[in-house]
Amino acid sequence: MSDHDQPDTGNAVPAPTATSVLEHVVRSIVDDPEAVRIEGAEGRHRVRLEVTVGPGDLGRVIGRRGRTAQSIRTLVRAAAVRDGVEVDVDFVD
Amino acid sequence: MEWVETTAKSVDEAKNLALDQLGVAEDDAEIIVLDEPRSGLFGRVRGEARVRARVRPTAPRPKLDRRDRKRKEGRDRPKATGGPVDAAATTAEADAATDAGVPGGPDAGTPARAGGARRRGAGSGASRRPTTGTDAVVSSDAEATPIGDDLAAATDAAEGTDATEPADRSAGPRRRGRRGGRGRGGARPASGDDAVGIADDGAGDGADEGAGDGAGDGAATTDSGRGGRGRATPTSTKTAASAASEQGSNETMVDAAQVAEEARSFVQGVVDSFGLQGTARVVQDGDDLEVAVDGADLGLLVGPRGTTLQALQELARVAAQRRLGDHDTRLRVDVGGYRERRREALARFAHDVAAQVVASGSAKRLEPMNSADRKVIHDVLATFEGVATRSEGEDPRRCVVIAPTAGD
Repeated sequence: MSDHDQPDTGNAVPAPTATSVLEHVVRSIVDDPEAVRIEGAEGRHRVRLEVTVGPGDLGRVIGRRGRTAQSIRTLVRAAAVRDGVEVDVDFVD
Repeated sequence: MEWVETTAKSVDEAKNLALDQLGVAEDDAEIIVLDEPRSGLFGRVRGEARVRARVRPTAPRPKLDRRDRKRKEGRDRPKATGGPVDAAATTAEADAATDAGVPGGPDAGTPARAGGARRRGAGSGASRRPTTGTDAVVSSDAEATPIGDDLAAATDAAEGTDATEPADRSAGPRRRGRRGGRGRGGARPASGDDAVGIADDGAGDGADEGAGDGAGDGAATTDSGRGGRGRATPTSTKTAASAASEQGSNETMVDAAQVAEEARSFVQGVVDSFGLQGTARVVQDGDDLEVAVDGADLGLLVGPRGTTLQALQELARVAAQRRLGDHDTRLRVDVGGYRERRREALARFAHDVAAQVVASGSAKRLEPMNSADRKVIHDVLATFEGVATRSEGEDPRRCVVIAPTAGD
């Protein structure tokens, strides 16, 4: 199913498409794109992507009532279909 | 109890049953067709006709004074909160609610004593807010008129308010304002304090007219903060503040073409990072902007019932806003002509149902739709002679009711 067969070593990016979509979206939204960091942690068939943004940008990424965050999750989950995994996206300070 | 619901093999039978129960002639009843028997496979009739009916309230007392007062609290909005149709409808519904004790008599014109009190609770909030006391008025049915197959798949209720909200931005001020009110209405534990409720609604509306969509929610949040409900988070307070200041300086709008280009490059970036073959282009019509993606195999970007597309559109707006500040343009994103096809299908469907409503003289409630789809229906039928549309219920089960124009 996966286009990018990878061993479960955790070294390689676990969900490349999802990660690149996530990165593009978050960087497009924040004031400080350089400060954006994304870390992936791989579980079984489930990848957790943790997004760190610069100070003051978290509110923007989350949006009113979490709307933006929810949209990001929706889009990134769709992207993860191409990676053959499911992803959870978390935004941390 | 004011509404009776009946089911039968055909709509006419169901209607007659309902009228029997109410004990009035058809002219004195208001009938909404909830469900029609549809022909299933092999020509068998599946499902039953279901109608909802009640004695038509003859002269609901206008509550202009109350509305006016509240509107002032809500920043002097020029228009009535729900528009004339809604106002009449809700008042009427509330009226009927109070008449439950008078079965069969078309004497809704003389409201019962208790009516006044009850009305205030129901009349003002029923159609846009889940006020606990008015559940009976806000329809509690789980079913509705079915849409054709291709639509049904896509019009299933959206998952939550969040999913449906983005599209609301393209809606007129009236509906946007309502969303503001509704959102907080849901969060508010108390019921029956409709003075506060309306004031909130007003704020949402007023702000929306002054500024972009951000202002609607922002101002609404401010309002709820002032009301002492403490819903405002630090983030939203900030939004509220900036939205408020935005209201006065609408002139600092950015060029629509700039917005379009920002949105286009954002969308193109998404397409690329998805690893899809597609090209984003801008279709501009005044302040109406559309970023259209052409290509093959773009279904992934549309998603089930268009949810992914909706998310993409929402993010394109946020991205364009980040770079350019607030703007007053309408931005839509379409992928592979999805929205256009859907719009066409919805329009056809709306016309069909409207024609049925005109022919039968009784209102029809469509199945729940998200705000974008509801807007299509409202827009398409705005010029359709003999019917008026309104939305009732709460997201995600809010639905359009197509009613014959009064005076028929």
